[in-house]
Amino acid sequence: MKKEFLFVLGLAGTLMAHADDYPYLTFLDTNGTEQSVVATGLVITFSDGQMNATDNNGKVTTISLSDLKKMYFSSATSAIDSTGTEEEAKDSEVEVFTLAGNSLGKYEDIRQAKTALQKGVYVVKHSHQTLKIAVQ
Amino acid sequence: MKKYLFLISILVLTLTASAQTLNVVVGNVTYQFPATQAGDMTYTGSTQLTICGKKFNIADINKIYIDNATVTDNEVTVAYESTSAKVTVAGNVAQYVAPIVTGAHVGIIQSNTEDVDGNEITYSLSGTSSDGEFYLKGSYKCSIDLCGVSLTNLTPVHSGAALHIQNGKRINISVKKDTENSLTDCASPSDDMAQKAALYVKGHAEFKGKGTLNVYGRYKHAIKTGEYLTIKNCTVNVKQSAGDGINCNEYFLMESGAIALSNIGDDGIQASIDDDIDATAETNDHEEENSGNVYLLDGTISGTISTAAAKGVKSDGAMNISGGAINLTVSGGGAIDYTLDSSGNPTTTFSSTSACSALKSDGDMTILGGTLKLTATGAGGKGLSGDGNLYVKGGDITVKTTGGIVYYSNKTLATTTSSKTTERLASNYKSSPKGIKFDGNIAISGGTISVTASYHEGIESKGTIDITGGTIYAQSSDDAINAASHLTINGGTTCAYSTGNDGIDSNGNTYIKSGIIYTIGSSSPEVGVDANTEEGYKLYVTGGTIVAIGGLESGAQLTQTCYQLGSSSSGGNRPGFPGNNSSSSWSKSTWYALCSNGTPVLAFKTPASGGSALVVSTSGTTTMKVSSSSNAITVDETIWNGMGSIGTINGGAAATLSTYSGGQGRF
Repeated sequence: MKKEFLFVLGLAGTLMAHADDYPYLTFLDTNGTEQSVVATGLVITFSDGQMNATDNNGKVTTISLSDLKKMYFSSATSAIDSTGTEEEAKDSEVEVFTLAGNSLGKYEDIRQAKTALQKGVYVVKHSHQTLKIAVQ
Repeated sequence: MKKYLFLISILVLTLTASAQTLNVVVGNVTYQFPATQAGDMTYTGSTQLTICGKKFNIADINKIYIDNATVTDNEVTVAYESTSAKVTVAGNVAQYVAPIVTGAHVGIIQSNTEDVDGNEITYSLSGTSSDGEFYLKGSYKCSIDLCGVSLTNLTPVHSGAALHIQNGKRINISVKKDTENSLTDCASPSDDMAQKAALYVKGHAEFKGKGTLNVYGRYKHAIKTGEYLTIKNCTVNVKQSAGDGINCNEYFLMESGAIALSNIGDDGIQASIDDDIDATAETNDHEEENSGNVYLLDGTISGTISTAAAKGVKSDGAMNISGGAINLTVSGGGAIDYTLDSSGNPTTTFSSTSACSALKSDGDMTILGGTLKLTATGAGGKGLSGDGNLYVKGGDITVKTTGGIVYYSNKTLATTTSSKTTERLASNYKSSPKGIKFDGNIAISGGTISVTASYHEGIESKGTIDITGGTIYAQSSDDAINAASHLTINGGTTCAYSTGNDGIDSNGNTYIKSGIIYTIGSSSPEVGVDANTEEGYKLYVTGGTIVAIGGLESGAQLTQTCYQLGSSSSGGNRPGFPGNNSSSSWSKSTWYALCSNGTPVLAFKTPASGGSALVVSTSGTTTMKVSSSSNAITVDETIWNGMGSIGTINGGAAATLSTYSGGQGRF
């Protein structure tokens, strides 16, 4: 019995290691500015001197190739740009992610999300805007 | 509880099966970089993206996408789909692999000169194309996995071969278990695409895996390697070859597996010495060996080859057989060989005739084990032949030749079934259908040999023959066993049955020292055992258990007392000649038993009812018994095609023997 438990623990350990798959692809431009996009389902194409990164939700991040220095997988987002406020999101359907980029589902509005979520820090997306929230 | 733990384990395993991968798509090629390996992916001058050392022209990239594909390091997969092929390249070898894909014609330039991450690159081929190929150029060892791939090369892009490895190193050809693979080359390539084989490897190829590979060589050989070739486990079916079925340099080694040969245009399997490097003998572990040797350790080789003068298996060097099963038929007729000019092209000047042989070695042949069933049905065809010596120490060998003699006459080939027609021709003007024929010496110390030659000698050596063991049966229309030099029997059990000449003959001395010998000569003046008395040689009988129908050569030195069946002949007449009044007579298909000191040591049956002397001898007090209706001789097991027994022998009534003082054969 002990052996079986140790075996499952080992497998679970492996699972946790894979859970460290990089949630973001971060682009660094020649000015040192970083931009991170969610890696899951990301598609990158090139046209007219531009790099276009389209995420799972259809959001496109465009960077000029002449400005692009490198890209790399990353575990943390490069300071998520809060492009919106809780007030702006109060009447909108939102999707909640962990900081690691795992989706926790959609909620009617941010208030409902906060009610449902446990204590912690989350990333909330709505209407192409992103913000960080903390649930106390 | 165990059931729940099992279910949890499965769930966890499922969750861990995927891995984050960055895929870079360039045409039909996808380079897969695990996220954990990708590191910094750098952009240079708006035109170039470098990932793990692989430089991409951004203009060539169709797209990059991230998924959960599992990437196997060092692997390149090629999936053929009708008129196209998709190539995926593991990220860690991407910088060393440059694919060129044109429809289903895949060419790869491999540039690494050492292991990558501790291993070599493996190319996994699968899928089907009726107009495709796989071409690889490189200078480091690699593996080719055949995973259910079927390729026919109709319109070559890189080479006319279906699989062409232009790499002079060690190439593993792994025929994956439970897969069937098929390779067919271009039948009529242009000069610049002309291939050496449907499957060609410039270096040395090691075939392995428990799958099946079918090869069609429509233009030249089916399989060709520039260096050695080994086979283990896999099944290789050569379905067609304009040239050889399998052709290699240095050496050929079959460890196990199966080779089937059909529709062969030249030899079935040929191993040659590489003329570009120094020849060697067999080396330790075959390191740096260039011997032209063939090694058959186990496995099966089978097939029928119908091309004139073709060989089933041919070695420039030696041939060593230690196991396995070989079942080969060569049915082609003879051919004329012409002298070659300085460019190696044949002129119109006759050189020699040649004929088929199931197994042929330019060097020595050694048989330690295995089961060999060899048949030659065309004119001049032989079972075993060689320019060197033959050593038989084990194995079960059955040889049958049924063709006539082929000879050169009036600028063409003719055939005859009478050896009298060609006996005065020089050897290069004829090819005779002997069962076993070696230019060197023959030494038999073990094994079981059964040879039947319808129109010539059963076993012939142009040197000496030494028999010290084994069980031998030779039946032929000419001498059953013949040595151009001395012949010695000192052990074993030998039956030599000739329907048209001597049973045992030598052109030097013949020594019978020990062993069990049953020899049958045809009608007088042929004898059971002959020697070259005409040139001052002699037959020496010093031991053995002997039955000689037709008697012994005139002038034989009989140190061991010999007897003949029946009463002595009366003065002057020689048994077998008109007027012979020897009362030797015996009946066909009747058991006779030869006894030594009262104990039966050999039972035998005769193929015809008697005429000339039936001579016997043993090392003890020699008596004979004969079956009668009231006292039949019984045996428990037989040898020599049912003509003899050395097992348990019972019964029989005493037969009359008289002393035999000399040979009865021709002077």
